[in-house]
Amino acid sequence: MLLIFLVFIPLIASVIIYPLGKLLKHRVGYLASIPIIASLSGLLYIGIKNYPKLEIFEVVEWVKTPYINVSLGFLIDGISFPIALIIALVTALACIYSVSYLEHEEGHSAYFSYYLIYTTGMLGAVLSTNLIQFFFFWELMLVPSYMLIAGWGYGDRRRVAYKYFLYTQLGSILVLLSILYLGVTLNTFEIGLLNISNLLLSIPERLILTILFVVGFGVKMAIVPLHGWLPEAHAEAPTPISVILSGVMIEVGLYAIIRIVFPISLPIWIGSVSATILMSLALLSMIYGGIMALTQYDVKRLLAYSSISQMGYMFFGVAAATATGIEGSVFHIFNHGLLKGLLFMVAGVLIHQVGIRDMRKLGGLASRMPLTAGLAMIGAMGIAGLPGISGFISEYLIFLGAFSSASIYKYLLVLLATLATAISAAYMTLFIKRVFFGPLKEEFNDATDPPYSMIIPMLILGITAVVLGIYPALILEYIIPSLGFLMGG
Amino acid sequence: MIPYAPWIVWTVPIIIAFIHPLLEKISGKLRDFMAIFAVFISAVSAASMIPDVIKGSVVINGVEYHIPYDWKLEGWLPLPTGSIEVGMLIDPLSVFMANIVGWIGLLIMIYSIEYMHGDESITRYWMLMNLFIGFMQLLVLADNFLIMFFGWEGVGFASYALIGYYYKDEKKYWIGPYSPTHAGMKAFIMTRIGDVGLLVSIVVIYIYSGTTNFLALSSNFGWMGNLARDGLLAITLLLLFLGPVGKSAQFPLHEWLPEAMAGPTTVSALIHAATMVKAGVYLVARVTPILYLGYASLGELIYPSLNTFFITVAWIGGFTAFLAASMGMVSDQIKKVLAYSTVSQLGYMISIIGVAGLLIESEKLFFEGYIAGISHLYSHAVFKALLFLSAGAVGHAIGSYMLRDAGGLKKYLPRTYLVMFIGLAALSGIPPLNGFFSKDGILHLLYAEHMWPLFILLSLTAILTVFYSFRLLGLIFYGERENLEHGHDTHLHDPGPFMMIPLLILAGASVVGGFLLPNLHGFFEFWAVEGLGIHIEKITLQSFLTSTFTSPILLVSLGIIIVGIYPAYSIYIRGALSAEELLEKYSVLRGIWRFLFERWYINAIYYKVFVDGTRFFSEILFKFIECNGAGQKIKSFYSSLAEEFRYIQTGYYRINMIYVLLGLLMIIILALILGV
Repeated sequence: MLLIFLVFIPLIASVIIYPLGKLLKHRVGYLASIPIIASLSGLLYIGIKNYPKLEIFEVVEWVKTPYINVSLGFLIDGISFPIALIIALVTALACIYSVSYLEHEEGHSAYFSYYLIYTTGMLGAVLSTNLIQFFFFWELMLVPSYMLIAGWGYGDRRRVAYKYFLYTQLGSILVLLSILYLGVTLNTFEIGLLNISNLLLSIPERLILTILFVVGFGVKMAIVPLHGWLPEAHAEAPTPISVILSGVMIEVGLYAIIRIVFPISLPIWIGSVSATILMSLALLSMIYGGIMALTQYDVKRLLAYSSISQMGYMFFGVAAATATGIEGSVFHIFNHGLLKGLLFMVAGVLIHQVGIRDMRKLGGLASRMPLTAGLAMIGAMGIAGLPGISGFISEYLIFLGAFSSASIYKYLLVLLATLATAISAAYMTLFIKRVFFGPLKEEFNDATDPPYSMIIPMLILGITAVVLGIYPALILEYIIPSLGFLMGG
Repeated sequence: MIPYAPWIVWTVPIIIAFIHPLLEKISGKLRDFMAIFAVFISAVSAASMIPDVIKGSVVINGVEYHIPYDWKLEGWLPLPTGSIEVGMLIDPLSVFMANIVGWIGLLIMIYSIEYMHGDESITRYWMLMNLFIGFMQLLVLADNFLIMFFGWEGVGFASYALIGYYYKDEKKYWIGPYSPTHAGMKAFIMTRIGDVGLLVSIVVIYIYSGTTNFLALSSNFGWMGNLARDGLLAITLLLLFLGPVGKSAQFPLHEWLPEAMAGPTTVSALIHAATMVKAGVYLVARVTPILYLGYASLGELIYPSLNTFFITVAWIGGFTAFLAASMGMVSDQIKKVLAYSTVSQLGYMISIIGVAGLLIESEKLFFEGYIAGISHLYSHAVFKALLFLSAGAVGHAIGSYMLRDAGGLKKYLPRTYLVMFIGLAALSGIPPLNGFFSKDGILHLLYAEHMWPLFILLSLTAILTVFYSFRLLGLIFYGERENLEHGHDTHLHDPGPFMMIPLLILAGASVVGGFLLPNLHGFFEFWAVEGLGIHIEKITLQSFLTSTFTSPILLVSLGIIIVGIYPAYSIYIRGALSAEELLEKYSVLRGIWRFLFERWYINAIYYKVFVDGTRFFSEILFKFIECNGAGQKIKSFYSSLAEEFRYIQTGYYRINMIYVLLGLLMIIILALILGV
């Protein structure tokens, strides 16, 4: 029952947190982090106990009628474990981080309740074993995030949240259609049984389903040109929510592609033409996101575009459809959660401590906030792909995987993708230079590093990123054993 | 060997780097001591490996292994196709480089005590310097491409952070129109473009060979053959070479190094002269023997690709040497002259290793060229560190690095004058200093092999080198000291012992270094015989000197010196001619001067095309696609959809009921069809 427990405990806790929030104000955030930390500890316990070959399956009956029979199943294996782990880690840290961040805001009860429901949604979507249940959790992570943006965001937050909702809902409809079609044709909703689609689906059917799924999930992943919602939503969301949106939520879409789309479409996916098309699409995201990030002056918007670019890397590895590429993508999901989470937290520190997020008005803060500057440097260099910080290894694996793909243009594609890391280096050093270097402006003379409740989550993310950069096997050992099954071996 | 020496060499500085913030809390003295002690440990461990390399075998945990020995830790990066391990390689090249980095690093660290004294964020300085030395040692000792890339990017980061060390961008640290943080960024991004090529070639080589390990790559050549059959060998090697082009500041990625001088002078000496920029040369030197062995076993199959590669290497190096030396003749800043000179000298090393590759058919000539490159690397590390550090002493005294603020310093800074004179003489290749012997080796090989175009290019470059060296000497130390009314000038003095002792040691090394080259040759002999299967004659000091001083190339060398010194001496030292008057008189000279001063306009073009171009392009995209594009389309799609559906939402009770009935009917029909 451990898996069910660790998925649902935040949801259950949300009911308790709501009334407590009225009493404790923003400090209820500390309490709200407890159920997430419980989930995180549960995951770590499972991970350490089953190192390195991890496969745990739990099932209970959920809907039982004469016509539809859906059970509630949870599976944790080498692919879902790192992703669930990073979700739990980032949400737990962002929850603690929220406490100081929300000091001067209203509605703490509702905020933390939604927050917990959101966490359950993401964990559930990653660990689900059947499509109906997956879709249930998929929508469960949309609704609270919509409310969080609309309620606590910046700027034109209602419109931005509405846009976010409409975009992702459009994607969800495609996903739902495909799920229903699959369920009816295969007579099962079990993800583990999708392999049998080999026998029951014709090639055109698979092709259409693949396209629908990729577009549907692609909206969530913000693959260019389906990315319209992301820059605004990630920039205007309250910063702890940006941490989650960019750090882990959009990656759930990619996870869904690996888990759900791969089994039904692997034979066509591996072909040269489709690999080339999908990799080019990913490449477009990388370069486009990077170039857009170069023009931004708003810190959070720069980071949002950077997420589009980084999502391109992860999709690149998956699009290559090779074991190494997927290993790299899954690991990059983990690393991006750490690094982008860290960077959004840095942006939040700027908003909280200085009150400015326009980089043209910032400058010289390194002397006033040395710790924040150091952590920002780790995040920025990690995104820029500096070895020694975890992002490098996963990017390397992605390129390795891409080069062994079937595409005949792989040499060119890998070259261009690697060139995109130079763009990442450019916008990230530009970000560091504009915010932290240069002469200190007078109005920032009193700026300081943020309180412990903000700095400690950032430290944990930064240190984890460095540790994994030096010893990546800690996570990779889990991923390797599950790859064979995924690739149909 | 000290137990675990190849690991201690790089881990100790990195670990100490991270505990500097804690040490600072205890005491500033302890922190300074530990910073230097870490490098000392690193240098001693590196030195302890020398006897093993000469002996040709190393004893580890009681077992004797042959050199080259690869000390591996298993299972660092698990992959579906096996795993990549962390390992340290003990062979002549790695140990040689580790010693250069360690010992020159140590001298520069000692010099830093006085030079950086009183700097407000000295902890960050020590931290980054230790980090740099650790990563540099990792780079040279790594046994495979991927671990080497860790060091490679690590030193790149340290370089970025140290160029932008004065991150508050005070005006006095600017180099021309560029602030220190801008210069750091420029260096980081420009070398990054080179690293892209390197990384791609590492990926390609791994896919074809299943390994990134240097020894494994040089024992099984199937990968080279397969790459050649797919027509990818030449392009892969050229992409690999892009890494050294960026790191060692070769054309067309040489433009970052002049601005890199914005960092503290010790940083310029250590990173941008003696060690990091040598990483590119090191990598070429690391790969060339692998290619040599590949040629020995595959022959004609890969020869055309190798030839393309080595011609490119030789000519990029040769051209860069000339290009940078020409810019060095007109620069207005002491450190910038030295930076151009570094680029130029790196060009020599790269070029001669490329030439060695072109002579791959003859094992003896290949080795001679290879050693010539290594020798010059060694000489240059010593005399260029010396030059930068003495430039630091000059800057320390007059508080500026602009040539117009210098002049007439000979009588105020006699000891600095002495060491800088030795450095510049070594750079010019005046016998019997180390620069003479190593440059002579390069020219000798080109002459003996009748490679006239390169020979002429590099001899011409040597003339320019002599000219700018003595121009620098003249402008700093000769002439009249102006502005003597400034009280500051009466306090001009040579630096104290912490700066002077490293300078004297390096000056001494420049004097005797040339006579140690036969030993360097001997250091590589065993490996050449065992590893490459090359049968070479041993060189003694006597035979080395005889061959050097009886060769016709000696006359060429002397000619170069005379032709170069004469104009520099008469303009800048004796003052018989005035540079300004000459420029005024001859418009051709003025044109050349402007062309060189603007760095052949390469920098300006890069900024126009790549920086402004990218900015322009991305702003256009942002404006026309991002703000008016897909986002708006979706919105209008939804509103038009809503407009359509509005017609069925009439609000009439009767019509709504009809919809309900229709819906029920459909459900019943469906249920009947599906037979529930």
